[in-house]
Amino acid sequence: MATVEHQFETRTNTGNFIWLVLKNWILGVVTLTLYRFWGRTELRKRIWSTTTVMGDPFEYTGKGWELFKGFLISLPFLLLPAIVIFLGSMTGDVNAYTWVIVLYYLALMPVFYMATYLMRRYQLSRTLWRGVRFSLGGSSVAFGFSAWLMSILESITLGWYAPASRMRRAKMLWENARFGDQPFEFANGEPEMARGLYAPFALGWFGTIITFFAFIGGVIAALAGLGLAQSFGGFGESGSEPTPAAMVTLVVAISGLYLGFFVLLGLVWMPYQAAAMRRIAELLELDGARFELRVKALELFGVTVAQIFIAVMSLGILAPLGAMWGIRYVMNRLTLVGEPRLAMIEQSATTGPKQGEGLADAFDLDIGIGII
Amino acid sequence: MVITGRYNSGRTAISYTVELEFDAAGLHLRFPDGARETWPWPQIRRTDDGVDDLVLRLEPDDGPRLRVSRDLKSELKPFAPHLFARTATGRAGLRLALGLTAAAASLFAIFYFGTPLIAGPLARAAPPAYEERIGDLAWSQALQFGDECIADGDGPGLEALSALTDRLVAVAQPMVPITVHALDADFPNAFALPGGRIIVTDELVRMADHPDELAGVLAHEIAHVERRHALANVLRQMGMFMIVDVVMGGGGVGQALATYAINVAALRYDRDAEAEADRLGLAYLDGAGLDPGGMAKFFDLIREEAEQGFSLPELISTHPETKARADAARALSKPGRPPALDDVEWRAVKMLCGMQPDDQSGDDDAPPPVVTEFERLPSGDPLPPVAPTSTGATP
Repeated sequence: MATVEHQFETRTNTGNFIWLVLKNWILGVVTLTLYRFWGRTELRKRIWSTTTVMGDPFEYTGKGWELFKGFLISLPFLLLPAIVIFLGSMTGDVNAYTWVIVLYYLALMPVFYMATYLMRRYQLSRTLWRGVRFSLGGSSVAFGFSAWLMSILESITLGWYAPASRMRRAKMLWENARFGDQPFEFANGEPEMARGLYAPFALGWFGTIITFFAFIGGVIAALAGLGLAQSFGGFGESGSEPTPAAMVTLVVAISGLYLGFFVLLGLVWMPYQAAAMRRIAELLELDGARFELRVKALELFGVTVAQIFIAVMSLGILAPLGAMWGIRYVMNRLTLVGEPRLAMIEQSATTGPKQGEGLADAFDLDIGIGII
Repeated sequence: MVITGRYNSGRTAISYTVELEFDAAGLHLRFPDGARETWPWPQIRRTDDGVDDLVLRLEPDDGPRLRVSRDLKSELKPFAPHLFARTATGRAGLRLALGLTAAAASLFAIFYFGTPLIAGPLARAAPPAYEERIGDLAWSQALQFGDECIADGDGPGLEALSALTDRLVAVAQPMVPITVHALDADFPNAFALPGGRIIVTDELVRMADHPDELAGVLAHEIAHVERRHALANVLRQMGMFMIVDVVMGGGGVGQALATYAINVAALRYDRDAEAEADRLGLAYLDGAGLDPGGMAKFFDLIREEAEQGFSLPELISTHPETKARADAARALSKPGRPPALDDVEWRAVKMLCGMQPDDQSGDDDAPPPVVTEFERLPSGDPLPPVAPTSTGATP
């Protein structure tokens, strides 16, 4: 029997999304950024209302006031440490001050992950499909500390633990998530969550090293080619001061090399990025129905370049437009494979937090739908 | 023709097609099993975003949703105009925008008026060790712009400069000890660092025609130290950083504008500090038995030089307008008092940093002395980035 597939679809129109972004930008300028909570809410609302599966749209019910309230509540937690550190610096005891700073940043890391979890809890609680709410249970503190320990392991292993930790984080996030009263399942009975990720990760890891040395080699070659090596590196025969023309050529050459460096970095890492996204979708299930994400490395690279391009060319003003492109690209390649028993899925018993994302705003975080 | 809509009960994730009728009483729904339900118009709200189908719900929200085609707008509007008002889809209204603008203006006002009230007393309460550490950091940054003049040949000039400083310090009686340093830099400037260091550049010494002019500069900088303006400036910038980074988050142009607005406000504090340093400096000169008119001559010199370059209106420049400052100093002039340094001392000062006493032209490769750091500030302060430490500059 053929398996039923339900394609997700985001039809957000670029033209009218730009107007919304520009309106938010103008109000953000006039209110010295205070409007950002309402602006962000409108963008989310627009994207969800134009995203459908099985012909029915999603609905975002969050409110700007809720984000603003969350921000106000988190404000003392952000300002107090800053004031303590500042006053500590006035004691004049350099050692004590250094330790305070180190401890502050150590404490900040789990808080950063907690903030991502709390933000996701808020966003899911304000996301509906067919009138039924999503939700996220679990403990943000447990997630914060686990993710923090995993990040330490990533550092110790020079990054090689990253594929495993990424899947573990996804597991913690998705296993605590529900649609109505139906929990999502992640990696059910799958012992090797990171299967298939290490080859593309190795490409990214070794590719980075090769790209880095290629860049350094390129700089040295540019210096030598322009006869400027002795001016900068102190080797070779002593020569005269570099001419302005040579300096301009050098700046152009190094700028080109920089650009090439980042393009290559993007290219070597994008296969891992795409593979990890596909793998997370593949391991996710809802009442026996599974997900499939058909993202490809080169396409993802193209979307990323477009996002950076629009953000840079508009001096950041249209960055949310790039974020929307990213969401649209992913959602239009996401499929629900199988039939969850929707008649059995009942409304969520929890209504979610009363306010949202205060800490996340402080960290400029916005997982899920990019910088929106 | 039968009008239909998609209905979700909000209890399970099942979607039905329902038949719709409407009249003055409300929207009547007929379910596939024949059951009926009426949604009274005053209780109906929209949850859609205004760009696609209409999605309706009831108030209070119990979960049910009804999606109908946008084409029904003209038929529904006479019964429920509130569903098509500007804010029906939850978009921010004018009242919210105005309220937030007022809140932003209030925050700015709090910074504008509140900061000087806090920064000054806090600076005066700060432990000297803290101020010294900031001063050390600022001094190391100042040394990026030139070498300190400490060669053997500089000894007599530095002694004369220190003796003059001590005379003024005896009147000012600041809480921290003050030391004066000469810097071999290619711009004319003088500035006070937190912790009591006063820096005078060789270009500034070269510009001065009379020891009383230099005494005026030193008196002005000593006043900055005594009032701890540099530290207050550091504290104010930290406050600004907290407001911009924590409260005005989100980055982008809004944050840049907030930073700009706060910078403009900060210029006012700088002007106030300069005016205070002028006033106190003149009093120190008078108290030390020197002619306050020397400061006026130096202001005149600055003005002449500035006329060769550009100048900014007083509103946006750090220091008060130079002519007004010169006039204020001239009004207190006490001609006939002995010069601040005798000929031998003055000659020694003019030989600081390897200068020749009769050299008035400056280094061949030095930029034209378009004077006053305060007039350069907005276009590129030649001083170190720890701007608060350089409140003084040429008086």
